[in-house]
Amino acid sequence: MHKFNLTRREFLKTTGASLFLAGVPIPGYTKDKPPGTISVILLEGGMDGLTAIPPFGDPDLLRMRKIITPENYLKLNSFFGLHPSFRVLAGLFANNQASVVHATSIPYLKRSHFEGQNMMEGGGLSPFSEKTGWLGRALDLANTPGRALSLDMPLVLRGHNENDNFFPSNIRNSSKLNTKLIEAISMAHAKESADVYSKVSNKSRANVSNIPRDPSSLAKYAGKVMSQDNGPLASVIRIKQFDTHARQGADTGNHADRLSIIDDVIAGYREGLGSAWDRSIILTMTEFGRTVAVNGTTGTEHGYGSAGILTGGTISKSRVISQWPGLAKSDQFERRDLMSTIDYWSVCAACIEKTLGLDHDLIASKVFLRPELPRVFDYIFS
Amino acid sequence: MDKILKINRSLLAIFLLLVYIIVTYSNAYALTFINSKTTSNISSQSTKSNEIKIYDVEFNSGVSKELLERIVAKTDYDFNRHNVANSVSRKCMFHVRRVVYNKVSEGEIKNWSILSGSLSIKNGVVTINNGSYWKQGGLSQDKSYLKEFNIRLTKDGHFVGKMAFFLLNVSAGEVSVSPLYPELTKHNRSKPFKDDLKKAEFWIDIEEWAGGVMFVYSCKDL
Repeated sequence: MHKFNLTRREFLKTTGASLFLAGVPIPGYTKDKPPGTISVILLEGGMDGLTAIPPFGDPDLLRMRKIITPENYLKLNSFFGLHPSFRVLAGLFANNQASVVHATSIPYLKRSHFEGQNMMEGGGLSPFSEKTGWLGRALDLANTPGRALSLDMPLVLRGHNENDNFFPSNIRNSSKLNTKLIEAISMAHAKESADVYSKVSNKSRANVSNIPRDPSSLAKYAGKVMSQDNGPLASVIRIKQFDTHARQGADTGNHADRLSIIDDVIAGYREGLGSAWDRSIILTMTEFGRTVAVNGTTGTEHGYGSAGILTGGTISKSRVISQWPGLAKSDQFERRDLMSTIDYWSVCAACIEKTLGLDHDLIASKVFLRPELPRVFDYIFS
Repeated sequence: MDKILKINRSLLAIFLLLVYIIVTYSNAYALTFINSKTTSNISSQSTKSNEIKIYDVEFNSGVSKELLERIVAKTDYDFNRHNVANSVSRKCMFHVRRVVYNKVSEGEIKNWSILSGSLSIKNGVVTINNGSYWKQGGLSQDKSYLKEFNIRLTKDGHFVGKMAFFLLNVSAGEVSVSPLYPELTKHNRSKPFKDDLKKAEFWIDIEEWAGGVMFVYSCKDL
């Protein structure tokens, strides 16, 4: 019997992520194939942007959160650093293929995970206001609805038309029985109902090999599929457990482990996409940031502003983009959180514009339902 | 009269307090977004009217070189330390078997193949040909992993480099396992190609409990 020497970090890396693919171009329906691919890494729980990308140039950073600020950060420039967990991302920064938008958030102020995550995926004006998701609406507009590869259709990918979901399973001897049953049910129905059962029947016959479950392999798988001709144009990977109320850690620890998973996912995408990396954008998003001050259990509470990481071959110059608000008490949101000075929807809009080839005004009004949404495209992609 | 003045002063104080609270908190809630290229505001404008700033990322050349080396694919390999047989072009059959070290310290070669097919050697570069296949189930059925071979033939007859290797078998319904990426070295138990370039046997160290052996045979000119 061989032994598995699994470290805590290795164990964490094998758990806690899920993948969704969508936006398969449909022959005869998709007029022009969009120029790129877009991948979203949803960081659930509230990522601490001040730890991931420490603004060491701000004199209040160490005064307020020395115990959770990494000491061995990589200096990106004279003001911002990069957490040491981001090993591959650091290389992409050096290769001018990664950027960060700092002091940013979706416009949600109430610090509830449930509401925040719903709004992060829905992209509406308020939580639970939309039945479709911002990426799904964007794919609709690009005429590439396709299907999501998942058991449930995540809100972020839900569009109005033609969206479909599918979770490939490889359970021994199950498909034959299921197919017969579904065919029998299908024959008993007509019109739309028959179409639905026919679709289910076709799916049960599909021969799809198992998909790996660890985040890095999921990303590599997604990248491979997206790199194929007529492959999906969008993917979403969900990483949980950023809610570090206690023992957050600094260079190492709970939060650092989660950041290393983001790094693994980015590495997986890069490897899987291959030459398609050149036309890709990968962006992280979280429902809110963390408090500036450390709490009594060396963690942080739900906050507001955070940081968004962007990487991919569509970026031509690495940079940190920010309207830095400062960390002094008087500069904080409600005297406790990092203020958000850039609406993250404008960052998402720029990524959609770049990869799906849609006009900014259309994205602003139809995807994010905010005609006044600013355009930050040039800051990211010029 | 004094009483009226006192009441007015109290009202004025309350009014000023209210104004202070409103001004303070309206600033805190304001989400301002102003930039020189597309000036616009979301909700209302706060007292902070700085523009978005771009902080360029800059590294000195030494740091940049070290960072760039981190972006490597799992099969990346530096062949500069080997003498690659650039003039050799052959086509061979091959199969890979698993070696298990649980019971026998020198390893027990299992009597079934986990990968088989044919390979081509063109100018020393080894590629796996179409028709080859892994038999480990799960993710190994994905043919794209057969391209994850970065192997060269050296002048002394060894295969060196890195390759995707499915060490574990995955049955239908089980969770897929990603491949490992072992390095093929000049293993002391390997039997490299001789001058006739007809057959060889390459041992691959992977994990403590198991590894692999690649048997290459029936080689002929391309």
